[in-house]
Amino acid sequence: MTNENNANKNNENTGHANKDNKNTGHTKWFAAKGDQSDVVLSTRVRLARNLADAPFPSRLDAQGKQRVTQRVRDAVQNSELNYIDMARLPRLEAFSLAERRLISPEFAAGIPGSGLLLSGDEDVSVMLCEEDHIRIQVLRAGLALRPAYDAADQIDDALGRGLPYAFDENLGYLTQCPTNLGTAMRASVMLHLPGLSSLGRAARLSESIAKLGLTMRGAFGEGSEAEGALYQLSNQVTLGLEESAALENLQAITMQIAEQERRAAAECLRQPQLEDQIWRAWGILQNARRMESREAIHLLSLARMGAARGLLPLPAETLSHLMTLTQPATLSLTEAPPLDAEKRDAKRAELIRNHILSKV
Amino acid sequence: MLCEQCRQREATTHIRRVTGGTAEDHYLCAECARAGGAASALTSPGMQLLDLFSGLLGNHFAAQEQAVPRAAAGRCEFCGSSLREIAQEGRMGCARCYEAFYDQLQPTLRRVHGELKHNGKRPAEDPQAARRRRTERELEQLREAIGAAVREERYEEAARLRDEIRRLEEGGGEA
Repeated sequence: MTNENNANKNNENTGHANKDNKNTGHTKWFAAKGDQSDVVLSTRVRLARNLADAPFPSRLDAQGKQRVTQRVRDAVQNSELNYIDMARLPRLEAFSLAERRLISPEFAAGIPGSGLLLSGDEDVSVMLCEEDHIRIQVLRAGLALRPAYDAADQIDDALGRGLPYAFDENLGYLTQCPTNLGTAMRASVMLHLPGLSSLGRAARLSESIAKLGLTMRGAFGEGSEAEGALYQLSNQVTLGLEESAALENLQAITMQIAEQERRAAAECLRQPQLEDQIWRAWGILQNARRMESREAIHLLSLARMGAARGLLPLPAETLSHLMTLTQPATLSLTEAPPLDAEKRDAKRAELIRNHILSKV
Repeated sequence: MLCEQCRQREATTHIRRVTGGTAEDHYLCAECARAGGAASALTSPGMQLLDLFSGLLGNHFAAQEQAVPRAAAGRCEFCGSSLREIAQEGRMGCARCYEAFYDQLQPTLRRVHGELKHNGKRPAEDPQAARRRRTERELEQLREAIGAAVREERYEEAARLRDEIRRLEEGGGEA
């Protein structure tokens, strides 16, 4: 019985993280409709944990990391989590995981000795020997802070029973970077704020949010305004504040921002020029034969604004989903062998056309 | 162009961080980018805090080094990190570093976090330990309250609190 369990859990998966999803590129949770989903694309809660009896990852060589990784794997009772050896995972697949927010970009570089535990639905990921020994992440569609935290909390309890966590009465969970001390929890929501962004209010909003113990920054791209008007809002305070208080705080601010965005979007849509831009974006998305990544994000963002406000005849989630699917690495993996940059632009345009066609 | 961190290898990675409308550019070589410079700039929302942390700790360390040259000479017995390394990287070597350098770190930690009193989840613990902890927390609150009562000359209240503390200390707190 025990042996069988051991054989089933942590199914070794070194080749293809998303083999089952290869043709669709679907990440199930991401396509779902969630609460406040006209503004909030997704929620993520991350808990950082470390072992008391091993140096932090930056002071461990590959073998040391490997040992920590193995100990955590052994402690995992959850057979739904598959194990991926990060050093052996093809880079393209690793970058795709980062594009889907399942791992951090630096973790995608494939640090020897580091590993990933990933649920089949790709809504739970546990990075092993990233910045901390253990980083539990739970993702949900829309605004779902409490459910995401509860799921992370459960995994944490299960791991904590078998592992000696580094914890201090006053400093809380001990983390490699002292800024995460305390709850070591980072909860974040991905927001689409095209209204506030085009009225030039997003930057000012970021500043006032900083005073409330939260951080808001562009999720993608360079330049002064966030590309695709996508922003990530997260808690900054980890010490002295209980998890539930931090979550409630983030929830309340998110609801306020969502209201502000709805008003701003309504204001924008009264401008004939912006309304025209949305319809033009809609036309190009349905007809273009080649499209670069930046153009796609820009047009999808405009169309999403139209969809979220009832102007365009399709669910906003379809466009959110396309924003992820059309990222370079994720897109390349829709075909085997993976697409090169040249063929990607054509594939991107095709994927967008087909997705939209199936929804209208 | 040379990497702005090591100033030895050619910079091949360009990182632009945009915060609240202002852009900040970094040029790093692949190695430094991988080693963390780029990594934290790319993802961590705590990046500014991290900068702040190593900045503060760096300053503090410099001041301390002049005043007490030997104060920072020690190394963490478990992982061998020195305070200088921690200050430079803004990262601790291991969990025990917090204990080893607590006195030196405390002012910086306070500036970053405010009061150093964790008030959240704790590792799963056995029921007996949980009870002890609750009692300890209660005692702490009572001791604070008794201090306030004495200062404000509310002696009857203080006497009542004293009895309560005695009861808890004798293990009578758990009915």
